[in-house]
Amino acid sequence: MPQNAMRVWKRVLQRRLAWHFRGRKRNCYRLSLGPVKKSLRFSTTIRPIRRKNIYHLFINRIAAGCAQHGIQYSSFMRVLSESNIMLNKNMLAQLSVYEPRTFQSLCEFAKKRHSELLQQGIGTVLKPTPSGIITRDMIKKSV
Amino acid sequence: MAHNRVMQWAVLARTWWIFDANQQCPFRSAYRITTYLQGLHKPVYHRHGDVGDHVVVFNTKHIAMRGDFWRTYKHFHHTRYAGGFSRASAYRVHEEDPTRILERACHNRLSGLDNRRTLMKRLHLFPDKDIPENILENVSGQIQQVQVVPKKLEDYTQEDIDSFPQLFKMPEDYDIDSYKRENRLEPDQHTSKAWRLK
Repeated sequence: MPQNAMRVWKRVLQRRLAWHFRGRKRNCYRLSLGPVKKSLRFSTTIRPIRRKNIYHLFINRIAAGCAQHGIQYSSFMRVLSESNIMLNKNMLAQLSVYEPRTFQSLCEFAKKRHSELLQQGIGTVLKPTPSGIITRDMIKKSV
Repeated sequence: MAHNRVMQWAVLARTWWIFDANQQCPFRSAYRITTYLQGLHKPVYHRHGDVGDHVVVFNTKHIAMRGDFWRTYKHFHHTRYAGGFSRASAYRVHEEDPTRILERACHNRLSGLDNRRTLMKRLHLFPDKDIPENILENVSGQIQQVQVVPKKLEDYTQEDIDSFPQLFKMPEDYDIDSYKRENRLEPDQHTSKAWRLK
């Protein structure tokens, strides 16, 4: 083992972190010190932003797939979660690109279920007010 | 996941869409048009991927603004010299260039994107029904309109208007025939003097 092994490895590490830079700070050790330090700091700040970007990318892709089959993204996701279909956004986005027929069948199911839920909602509105609930009108009538 | 199972080469092709702007809100139309320009209607969408389509818009002369927007909605410009600020109402801009309002609406909608100029080049706007043959032959799809085309007062006959049931009488000082006149009586106070009607 050479005597300056640690020194060499330190420089190799530094060089590896600076390989994607442009100009002399890519090759010169002294010049790369500052930019590498800064890029490591940037890499921490970019993490939540990258997560957010990917999150929105998945939503955009699923929404595009849904629009092709005539259903909105929000109702699609709501139906899937309520029907206990445990597919995350990543997998749904992949299905919409690579397995369009699978995604279409999911959309068809969601459309049907969504219309059922809508009809149920309309039904509950038309039903009479259940007992045990006192509204302002009842109080006025009794007085 | 088998990537070779479905090969959708047509997805990566650049298709041409047509949109009829007759009696459509320019802002809501821009929302829909820019979706197709950016490729947000495709599941392969990526912000840095060049997956957008061409959109041909015709009848931009006949767009409709809601409320008082023809008068109150403003287009601004600054030459960056002192006193170089000017603004014009939407109807004034529309008289100058009938495609301008829809173009600006799309342009504003795409703000913050690096590829905005590229996307705007794929938007083809025509004031009338006259579309060049070399553009029209590419079109392979139609974008749905954002609102139902309403029936104008001009479309009704005078008999229909007269026979419409009146619930009450209008006061005598009420200006009933204003729709028959051209709306040029009042100078537009919000437009810069250079742009104002003489």
